[in-house]
Amino acid sequence: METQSNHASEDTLITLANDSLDESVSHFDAATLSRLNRARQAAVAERVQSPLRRFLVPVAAAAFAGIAAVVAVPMLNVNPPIPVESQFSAAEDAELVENLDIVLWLMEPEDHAS
Amino acid sequence: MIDGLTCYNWAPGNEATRGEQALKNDRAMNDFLQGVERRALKMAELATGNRDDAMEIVQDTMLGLVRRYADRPDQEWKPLFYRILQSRINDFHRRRAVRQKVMALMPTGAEGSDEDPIEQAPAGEQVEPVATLQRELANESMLAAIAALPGRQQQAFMLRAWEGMSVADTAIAMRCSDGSVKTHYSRAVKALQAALASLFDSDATA
Repeated sequence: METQSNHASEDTLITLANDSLDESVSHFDAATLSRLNRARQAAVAERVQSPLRRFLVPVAAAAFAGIAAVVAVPMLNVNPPIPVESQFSAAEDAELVENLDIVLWLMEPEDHAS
Repeated sequence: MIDGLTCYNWAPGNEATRGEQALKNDRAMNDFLQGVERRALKMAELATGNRDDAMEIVQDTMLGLVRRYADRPDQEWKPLFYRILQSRINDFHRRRAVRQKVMALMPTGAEGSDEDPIEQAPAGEQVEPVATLQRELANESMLAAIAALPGRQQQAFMLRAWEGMSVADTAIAMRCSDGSVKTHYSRAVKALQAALASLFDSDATA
């Protein structure tokens, strides 16, 4: 008997609570409803953008990596050292040898003194 | 043409059908959010005591649901939505508690405060509504009594009684066991019955 009364009381409470709560949300002012609407639209727009972003991010990352590779690889590719002999022309070679001979001659003190 | 709708779930194949499906999903999400937004706002408002804070919480909740759970089956959206909502409300209370501790350290904080003591009253205080009020006053009394419930009881009561969620879904939303939901709900009902006893008496005699 008491349990039935408690149930009835609980049911009444829930009914009254729901009525009060329903009434309170049915009287939101226009500004509040507008803000709610904007918030919802922004959220749904996020849903549209998210998959697009999911698709574009890997594509953009791959494109960036490709461009970086194209730009960076030539910069990193150091030219092999050019052989010393090939750095001088034949005329320069002869001149260098001649100068070297003079230097060597100057460095020989006995011959130079005589 | 590439747009968000055709890119959603993009894969080689029948893009028109996929675009239609994405559009349908967007509509479903929009309808779902439209169906819960007012109640969510009211729940957040009762929990925070401030509509602006409540609005921010609801907006964050909507974005959180869309970002993390939009691909889940729409039957799961409701408990997940309220789970995020309750999490945001809890975050709000934590931030407010920290702010209050910081403000308490300030020498000029306590005296001469312009803050409304009713607004600052902690949850759980008993509310004594007047027995014979008109309908509007009775509604206000009911809302005040619900707002005065401790946080977990308030959540359990509103999700179960107002939103009509099952114990299992409420447990998901509240991140607790089914047994805890039942306990919180039962205590909330008893607290409301006690707080609104006079209202019940007048309602019964009417």
